[in-house]
Amino acid sequence: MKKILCCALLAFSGASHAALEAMDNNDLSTVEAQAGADLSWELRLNQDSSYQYNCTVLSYCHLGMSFNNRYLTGTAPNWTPSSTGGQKLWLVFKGLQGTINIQKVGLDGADLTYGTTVKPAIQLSYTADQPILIRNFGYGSLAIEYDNFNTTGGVEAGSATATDYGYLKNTTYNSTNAPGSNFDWGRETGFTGLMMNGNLAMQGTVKIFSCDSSHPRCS
Amino acid sequence: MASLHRDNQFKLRALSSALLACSLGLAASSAFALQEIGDEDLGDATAEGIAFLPENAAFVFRGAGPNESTATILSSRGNDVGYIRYIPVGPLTSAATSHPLYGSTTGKGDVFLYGLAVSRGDGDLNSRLNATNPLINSWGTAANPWLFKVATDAQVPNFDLTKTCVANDPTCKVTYLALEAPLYDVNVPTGTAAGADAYNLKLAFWADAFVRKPDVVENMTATGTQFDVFSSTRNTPTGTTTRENRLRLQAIWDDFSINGSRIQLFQTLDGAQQTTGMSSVFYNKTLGLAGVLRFNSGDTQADKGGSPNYRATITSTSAVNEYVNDSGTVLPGSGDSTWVNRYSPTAGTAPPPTSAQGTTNCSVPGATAAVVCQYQVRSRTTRISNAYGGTWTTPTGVGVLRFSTRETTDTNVLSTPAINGIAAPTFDANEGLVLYGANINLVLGTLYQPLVLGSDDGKNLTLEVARIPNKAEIYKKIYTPYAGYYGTTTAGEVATYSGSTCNVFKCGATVTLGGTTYQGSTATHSSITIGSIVYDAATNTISAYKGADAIGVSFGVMPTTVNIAPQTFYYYELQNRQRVRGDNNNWRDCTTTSATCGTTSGLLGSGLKFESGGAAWKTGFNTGVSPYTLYNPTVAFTGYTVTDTTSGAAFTVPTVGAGGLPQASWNGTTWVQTTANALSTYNYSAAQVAAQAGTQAGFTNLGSAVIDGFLVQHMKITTKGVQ
Repeated sequence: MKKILCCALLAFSGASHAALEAMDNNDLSTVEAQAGADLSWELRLNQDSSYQYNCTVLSYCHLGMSFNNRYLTGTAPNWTPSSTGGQKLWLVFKGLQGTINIQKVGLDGADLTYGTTVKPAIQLSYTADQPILIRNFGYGSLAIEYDNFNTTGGVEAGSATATDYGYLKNTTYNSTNAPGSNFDWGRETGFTGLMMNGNLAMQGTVKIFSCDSSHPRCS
Repeated sequence: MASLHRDNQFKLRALSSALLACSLGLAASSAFALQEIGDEDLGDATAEGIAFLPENAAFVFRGAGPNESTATILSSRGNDVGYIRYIPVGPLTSAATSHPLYGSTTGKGDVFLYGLAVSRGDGDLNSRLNATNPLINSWGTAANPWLFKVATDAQVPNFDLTKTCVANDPTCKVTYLALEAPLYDVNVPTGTAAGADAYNLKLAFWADAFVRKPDVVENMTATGTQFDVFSSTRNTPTGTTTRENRLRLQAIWDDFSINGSRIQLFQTLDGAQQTTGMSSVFYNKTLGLAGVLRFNSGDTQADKGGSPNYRATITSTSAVNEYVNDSGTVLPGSGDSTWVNRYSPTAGTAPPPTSAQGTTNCSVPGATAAVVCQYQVRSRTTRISNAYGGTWTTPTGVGVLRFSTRETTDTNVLSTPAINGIAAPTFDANEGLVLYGANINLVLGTLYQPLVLGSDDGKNLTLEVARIPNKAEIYKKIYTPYAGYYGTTTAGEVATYSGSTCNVFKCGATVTLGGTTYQGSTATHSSITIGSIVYDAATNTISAYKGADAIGVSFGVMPTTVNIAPQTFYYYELQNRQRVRGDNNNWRDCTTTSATCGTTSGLLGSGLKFESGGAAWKTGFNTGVSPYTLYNPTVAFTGYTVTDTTSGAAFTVPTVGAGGLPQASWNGTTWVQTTANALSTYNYSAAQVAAQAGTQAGFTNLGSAVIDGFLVQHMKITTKGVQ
């Protein structure tokens, strides 16, 4: 799941930044004509220039995932779980933020040999003295939420109110719902949050190649 | 940057594969680069996977800050402070706060995991990064890489108790997305280019865990009072800062492999009803997970029959017995040459002619004028050296997992790098829990017994490994028939059960790909072994090796070698002989209490032995002074000169004890055993060496432990208390 999530985050944040758009076909061709390229990527999500959380509307700094056939029926707190329909459940990563600054990644091609097959591969290379900068990357809390409307036969009834959608719910803890727990006040409801901070000093190369039917593992 | 791209085609194909994986995982529609790839390219890639091959690789999570040189990264562990923090969000439940004993002092666990590092193993159990040769040369090979792939399994039985899956039944096909580590070689390679480093990994991190006071606002720049759960008692009575609310932990696993691991994501099949313990609500057509998680230190068989065995090497010294003189010089041979004369009149000298020849009452020499006894006294010292010694040598060559908690810097304070900006601590080199030769192989779920996620109440998360249904099609894939426990099951039925255990040697049927044989990934049972084991390949079962030389769990790092110093023992014999005036040159045995001397002939009788034997020494030793006293070895006698004043020399009998007869024991009037036992009794057995080693400082071995062949029938974990 984490792999998928990472993938999702990369794709998502990549799409929202302009830096990658420069890599069109012409650029790729240019790379081809050279002896490889050194790339620098900075991916930043919901942060200001000093890597602090910057989210105007909490609802829109979420990553929600809904697993198939996960619903509740009935009314709180006497819910009955259902797999056929009802109020859809969401696993919501709230307060999503982070910066990943890949200072340098080398992009080359290289050959691999297995059996009698010579296989070309993309080779990404990293050096430890140009670490990947990870700044406050993570989420503030992880919560299970549910829609305030039913989904029937796979069709959502929908709502004009944003917070009726499970993944947009933005309740925070305060002195009323979390008395005596000052630590939590202002945080979005849920449980364990996760935060990464540091320089990931990574050395080495990763060859990436398609595992087609000529490969023993994919035949 | 030495290699050039070969052609344009490969790049697109590889890219298409890479992006395919993302799109499969995500259904991401906004991936920009997908626009560059035609549908036909995607079509080509559908049945493929993306292979990854990390080479010359290592990483360590350093503190946020400026770039560092590679040399600094390798040499300085103080900046291993890049962290992953698990933030304890949400108020405590009433169940936690209302506990009569601990309710008022319950806090929230705040965990900072620092310095996560992966490098090549170096055998150092206290270093989180291999500083001299950190790079994993090849984590897998071109033929056996990491793999991110999509595949479809057919004839996967669903939960419907009445349904039988036939071949090519589309409703029994499960397509899954899998992340696979390199497969586990049946014959582990030795060359780095062949992927040997994948079996010699080092994984390390350290962590600070705090008990957070819930009513104090988080402060990420100073400790303050945020960890003062015991505020009423902390810092008392002397004002010193205590550390009751911080747990430090360092974890290092050196020399292990994750090869053979696999995680699958898929949509579960359906057919489950709300009956017979199954759950239609949670099991049907939802996200399913299955994992084979393998962490293996290596082959830990105690007796491999030829290869280095994974158990302690125990040697035992072989005792040597020799006769020695007072200065320790060996007296070779076995006869008179091994004795040391203590008092001896000149050979051939006639007894003093103080009295007429007589034959009576020689047991009380000198008692009458008619008889005069003359003595010769000699001793023999048996030295037994090299006794009770041995060595206990900890085995090497197999991975070790170590947890330690005792830091040697930054002690006794409530600080942590993420808040206080301090350096990573160093840890005690020997303290902690050390698991030698740990092999952990966990099977969590399968395509037909998935791990599913859900929620009962819209707030709390459940994690469930589906119950095994009462359906032969499924349970026969899972259950294992163990030889000897078939009961009434026929051989034909036994053959229909295909469950097996995943251990370091086997994980389902092997697969041969491209001429190389690998372990499988289809096993259904888990296995955890620590230390020396006995593996039965016929039944694929493992039991703990129970010999005295077993190694495994240890509270502290084991010394490389434990020496049990050999000991030296001395045993003494005293002999005397006596001749009587009337017999001239005939020596008489004086052990007899007979009133009449025997008529021993010859010059060399066995004489009186003052050695052990338990018998009271009946015969008085003539000190020349009446009454004759018994020879008491606790007293040094200096006057055993008898009546020979012409050629005899005074003789001092040594006393019992260190300076006299160290192994001799005198009990009142009785010698107790001082005779050497059979030489073999001075050699330790392996078990005795191990027992003695166990008494040495630093020896903390508890032996091996095994949990083998355990199966998750049904497991459901639910978080509680999310409000």
